[in-house]
Amino acid sequence: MTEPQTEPQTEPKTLPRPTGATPSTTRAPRGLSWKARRRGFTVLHRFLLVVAMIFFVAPFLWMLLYSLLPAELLQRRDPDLDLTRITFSEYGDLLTDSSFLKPMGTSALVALLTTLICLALGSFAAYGIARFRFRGRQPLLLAMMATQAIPVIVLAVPLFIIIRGMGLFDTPWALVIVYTATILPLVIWMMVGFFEAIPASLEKAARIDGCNRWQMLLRIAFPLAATGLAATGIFAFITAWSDFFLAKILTASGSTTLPVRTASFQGLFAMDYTAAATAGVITSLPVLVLTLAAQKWIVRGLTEGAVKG
Amino acid sequence: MGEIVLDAVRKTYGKTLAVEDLTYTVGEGQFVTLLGPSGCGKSTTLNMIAGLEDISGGSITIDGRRVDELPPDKRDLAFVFQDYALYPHMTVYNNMAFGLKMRKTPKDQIEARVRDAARRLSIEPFLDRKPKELSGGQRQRVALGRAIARRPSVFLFDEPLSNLDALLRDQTRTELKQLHRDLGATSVYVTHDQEEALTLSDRIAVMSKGHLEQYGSPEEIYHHPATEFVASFVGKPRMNLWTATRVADGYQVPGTELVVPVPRGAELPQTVRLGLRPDEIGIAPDDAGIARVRLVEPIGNATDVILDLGPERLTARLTGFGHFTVGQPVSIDVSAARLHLFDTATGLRLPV
Repeated sequence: MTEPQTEPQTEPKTLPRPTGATPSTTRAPRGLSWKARRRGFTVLHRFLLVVAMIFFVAPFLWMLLYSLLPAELLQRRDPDLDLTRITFSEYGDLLTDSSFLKPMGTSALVALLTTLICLALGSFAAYGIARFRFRGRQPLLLAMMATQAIPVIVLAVPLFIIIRGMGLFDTPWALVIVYTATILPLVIWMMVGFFEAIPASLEKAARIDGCNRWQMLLRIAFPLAATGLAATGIFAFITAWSDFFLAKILTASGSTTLPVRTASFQGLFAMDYTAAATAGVITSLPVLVLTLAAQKWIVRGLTEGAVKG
Repeated sequence: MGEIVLDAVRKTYGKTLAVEDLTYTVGEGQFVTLLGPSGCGKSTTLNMIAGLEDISGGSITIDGRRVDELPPDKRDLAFVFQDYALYPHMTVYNNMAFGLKMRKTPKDQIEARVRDAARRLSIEPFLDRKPKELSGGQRQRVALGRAIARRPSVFLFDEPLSNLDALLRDQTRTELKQLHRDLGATSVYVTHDQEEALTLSDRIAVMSKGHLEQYGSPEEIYHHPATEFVASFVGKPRMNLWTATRVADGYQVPGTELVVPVPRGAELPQTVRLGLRPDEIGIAPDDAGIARVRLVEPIGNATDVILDLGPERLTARLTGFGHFTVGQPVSIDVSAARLHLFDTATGLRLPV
């Protein structure tokens, strides 16, 4: 920074914090000052965030518009965003249509059951892995990660054959089993991080205070890991809820799920854009709400799980 | 209530011996410190008394009852952890009440005991807060309060002051001593800080590398260290220790002119490890002196003067600010110093 010492009266305006990056750039002839550069990075960072946001949010907003406005307004060469013509009629139609409500129910049932099973099994498994040192502990954790490296498409046909063999084709149970199998390892992986973050001395204190293993788990470990467990649960729910591929393969008309049903609006010769968009919004709404509600936990959960191991 | 007897207590991890053959008695109502450098087995010993770790051999008895097979909560003791180990999801009140609730203590009694403990520690205003809203010193008090509310016959402390800053540590130390006097419960306290050990304890158990070096009162430990390890570990500044050889009327530190007289008629070996406490050595400016001032370290009420004594060093502690300058020759007076002699091979104290 150059100091206007010679004329302190005439240059008081340089003393308040400059509003942009330009003053420093013009004053520092030998390249940008550190401050100016940092400000430059901040501006660039913000700009990239805005671009990313537009990239991710714009399609969703477009879908939202499609679900609310008559299709003919939007399919013109010059789309007419006449907000006075907004209508919720398609929502009303879909939410009274049993061929849409049934997949919705199936999706909710499957996602909820998967989440509950993952939480119940995962929390105990993760606690055991986090707290006990046993032979094969590390390989076990690695194996769980390794399962995630297998592309689902490779498993699709074997899974189809197994599920059909079990007589579970086109049932919600098929999905619950398969989702649990794919999501549980990740859930455990994440939860191990949460349990390991609990200081061992707390459990010693609990033992002195008279807790057995169960009480320690229920009164100390689980409450302390609660936010993490909730985040993991939300993660499991979202994953199960948004799956398209496995649901498409393992179910037919009998117990299809929302993503599959939504896709079915795209017919061979025609497409009901409004219905598809509306179904899309309805499908993504729980994901959106849960993510917003739990974004802090989820980020923490994912990173905590990521650095352990 | 609360006499703890350790008999030949041993702890091994696989093939490594962590603690060997500990045998001593912590008397009823006594405050006993387990003192030693890190890795000496003091925390392991405490955990074994608590029941947080199994013993590999020997027995532990509290009030005549064998406890080493009992779970921690059946041993009637409370534990104060170094990191406080407060339950973050519970209020201060519930932290203090938790152990009592688990023991199905009647509600009104829990209330009374928690309030009493909180009053003793002046943490009543915080009872409804969560631990994270408290400062380190306040958390420390809650950890103490949790132990006190339990009213156990034995208190166990694992370096409870080491996470506090220096000023608070001294203050809390004084309060701990007061608390022990008020409550009168047997206490076992682990620390590596010899000053804490000396100030707080009725008895000190000095440990090194898994075995007991000496068990005795602070005075015995300080003035009659049983081994060279105890002599060098306890006392600040550290005791001066040299290998010395027998001469006509005493021991001489080789390469120096320092001769320390020993009583006549004593049966003593040719070479010994010789120890003198810095605060018992007198020094005076003397142009014909046998030592030269190397460093002067004033600490306010006292000054440590480090001398070059031939190839050896000698530390002397004087009261007040000594007016010595570096390089100045000084004479050494050891006539008032207690003599500590140790066997060169075993490190055991030799009677003088």
